[in-house]
Amino acid sequence: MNRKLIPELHDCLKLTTLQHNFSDFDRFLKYTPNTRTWKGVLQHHCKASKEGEESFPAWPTDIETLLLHIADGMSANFSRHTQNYKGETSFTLYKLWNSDALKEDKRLKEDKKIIELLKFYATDPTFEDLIKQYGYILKSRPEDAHAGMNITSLYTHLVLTGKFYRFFRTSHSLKIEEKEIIPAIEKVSDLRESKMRNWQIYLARCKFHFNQKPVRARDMNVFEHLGNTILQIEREFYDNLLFLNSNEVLIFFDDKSILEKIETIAKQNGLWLSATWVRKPLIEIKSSEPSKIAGNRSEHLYGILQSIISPPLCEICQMAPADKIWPSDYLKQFEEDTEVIDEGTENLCNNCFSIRNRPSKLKKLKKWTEAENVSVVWIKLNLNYDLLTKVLYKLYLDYLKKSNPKVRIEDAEVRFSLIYEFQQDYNEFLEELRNGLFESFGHDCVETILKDMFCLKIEKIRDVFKILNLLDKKLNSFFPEFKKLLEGPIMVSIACCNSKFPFFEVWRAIEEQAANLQILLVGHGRVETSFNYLEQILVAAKESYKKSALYKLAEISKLSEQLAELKFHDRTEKGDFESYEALKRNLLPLGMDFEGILTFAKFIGD
Amino acid sequence: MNFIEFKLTSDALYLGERTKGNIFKPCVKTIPFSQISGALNAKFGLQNIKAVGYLAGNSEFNKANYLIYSPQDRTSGISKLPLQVEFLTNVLGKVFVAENNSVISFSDRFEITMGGLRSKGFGVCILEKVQSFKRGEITKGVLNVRIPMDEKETFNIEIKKPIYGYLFKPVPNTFRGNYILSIFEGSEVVAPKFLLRHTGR
Repeated sequence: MNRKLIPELHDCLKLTTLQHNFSDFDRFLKYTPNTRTWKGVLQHHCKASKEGEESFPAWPTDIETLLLHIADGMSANFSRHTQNYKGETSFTLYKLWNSDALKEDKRLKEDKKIIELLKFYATDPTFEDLIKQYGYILKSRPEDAHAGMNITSLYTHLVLTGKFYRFFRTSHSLKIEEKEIIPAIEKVSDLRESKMRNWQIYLARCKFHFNQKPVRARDMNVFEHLGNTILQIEREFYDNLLFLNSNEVLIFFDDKSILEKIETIAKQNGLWLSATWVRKPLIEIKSSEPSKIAGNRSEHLYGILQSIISPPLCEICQMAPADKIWPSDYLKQFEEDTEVIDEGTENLCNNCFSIRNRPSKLKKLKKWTEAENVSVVWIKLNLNYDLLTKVLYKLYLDYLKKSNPKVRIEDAEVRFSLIYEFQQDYNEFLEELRNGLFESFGHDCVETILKDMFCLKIEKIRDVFKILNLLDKKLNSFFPEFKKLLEGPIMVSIACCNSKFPFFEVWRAIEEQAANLQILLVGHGRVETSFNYLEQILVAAKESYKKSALYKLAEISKLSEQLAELKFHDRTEKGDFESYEALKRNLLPLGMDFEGILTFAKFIGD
Repeated sequence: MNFIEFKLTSDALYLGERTKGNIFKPCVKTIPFSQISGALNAKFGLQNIKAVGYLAGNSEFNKANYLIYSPQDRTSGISKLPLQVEFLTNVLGKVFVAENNSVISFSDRFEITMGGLRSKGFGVCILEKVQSFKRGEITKGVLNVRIPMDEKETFNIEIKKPIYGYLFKPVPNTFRGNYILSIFEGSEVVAPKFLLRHTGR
């Protein structure tokens, strides 16, 4: 036994059709690996977790295996409940947001394959090795196969166990001594219970914001700051993270100084953060939303703000005195950069100056903003965490009701493992959407700002429907259940404008988004709808309308929208009215108002 | 503390955002303390009127429109680059004025001018008195107005989770002023209900 215990490898037998508690393992005894990881496989349980189940043959005997036992309980606790639901066990993962995604039980059934697995374990592999070799099982086999509990994968459970195990191992405040471990099953169980009650941890949700109102391509560097903040937090606190988005994290820790460090990272990047956090014993941390746990605290953490600022005020963030002048102060450093000489004078604070000072990495965007008459589309996806937990709760409750109509509402609590499971699909969805954009528009026409934000150069505004088509396809393959909802957790803004249009106006519309899908023709109107109607919108876009009728409507609306609305309902001009009737037939049932219909007409009339 | 509620209407209003995007000048979508208090003080030649406001009404009102114009240099008479200005038409808003001896004598209907582009006919606002009322119930919610920090007591605001920004405050009897730390719409506060967003959605 020379390598350390790898906590993510503790559920070896769940990869097979053997019993997890070794009750039918005897015929494989001679292949038993002799590693510390295998000791963890054997000793990570003590008493059976459910009535009628056989206990494990061994139990934790040292600090490593006891911490693994607690970590396993913590990560299982987030997806497994004490209720026993009647119904068939299922060894296939049921994704609440994509119920038909997986159908096949991929566990190892044949003795030969199981022996191969044991031999693999004997090589003392890493978690990465396990994923490479058996990832297809880990991601399809639920952590808990009991009825109603097969909603998170073994993979998610193993990742979370690893995080909790390393967190306990390195914690300075959550202490355990070797002498506390008395080798008797009841004593070990009591010790675990006692630690779960006495060890307190923090759970915090932090959302990062910037004050800047980006105008020029260089100002978009603020998104790089946002990306760097998240990246730095991920690098420094990987094992503490339970959820991570482009501007938000859910994190647990044992020392308040971690929150202060996060605050410092944010401020160093010129951001402020809103944080909600709670400190509770391990046993009480069950919800994945800190604001739902009693005793939570919530605050907005800004840097130092002056109570009075004498003019000039920074023109970009409007939160600090402007000590620099653009472009003259910039040109003092970079005389050779003649590109900015003709730009208008702006008063900037040191932070915003440093953002604009650096050349933009978004080379394509820079080129488009410098050219004349280039149309661009901004795409921003946003995951609403509050809605996500609500929607998952509802979907989980519906799923539990299938096996137990008398299910209690508290049984459908959304635990971290479910959020983590979702996050993997969401990341894959974003990746595929990005690849789809590259395929549809070409690499030269797609600029990636963040993993959930893109800018596209388009030929005609009708290309927006190509984006909607792609979005529809990806939603169908990843989140079909969300498409059935009128209000889901994924928000998509698609804003079409001239490349020179100031981005902060687009950003304002994105930040004010209320519907799941917002399609903006900046300065000319918006369509607000839900994914529920996406297919109908695409069908409506394919219908043929009289071009001149759409053109007239758009032109009249430039003078007066009310006049355009009168024209829209005017039956006297029969040629045009047929097209308007078709629009009404297709779009009114989707709850679209006249502004939405008019904007839609402008998109298809292009 | 008592307040007087006024209905504000205007054909065209341009309350310029300080942020400017090259040739584009956007418009504020609320009625900040500094703008409405300044306009009222200017109208009545006073310095002690404190008021806040916000835009109200359904989608018929407060429509964004765009004007392209080219300001002329007064000395040379030469027009510079054309600017695109965002402004609001068919403006409907609510204004709440903190009652004091000066305010009590306001007539029920009067006119003020507010915001920019006044020489182009923008900014004429009609204020009609709706009611005079006591502060009313204090409750937790999301702030719908912009108020300087040093005026939060006037409006009985206790800050929970602030969204900060700065509002301009003129120095009396001068053409100068300073930017004052303020709380903006979206802040979580405990405040009188009339200052809070409706939680309809």
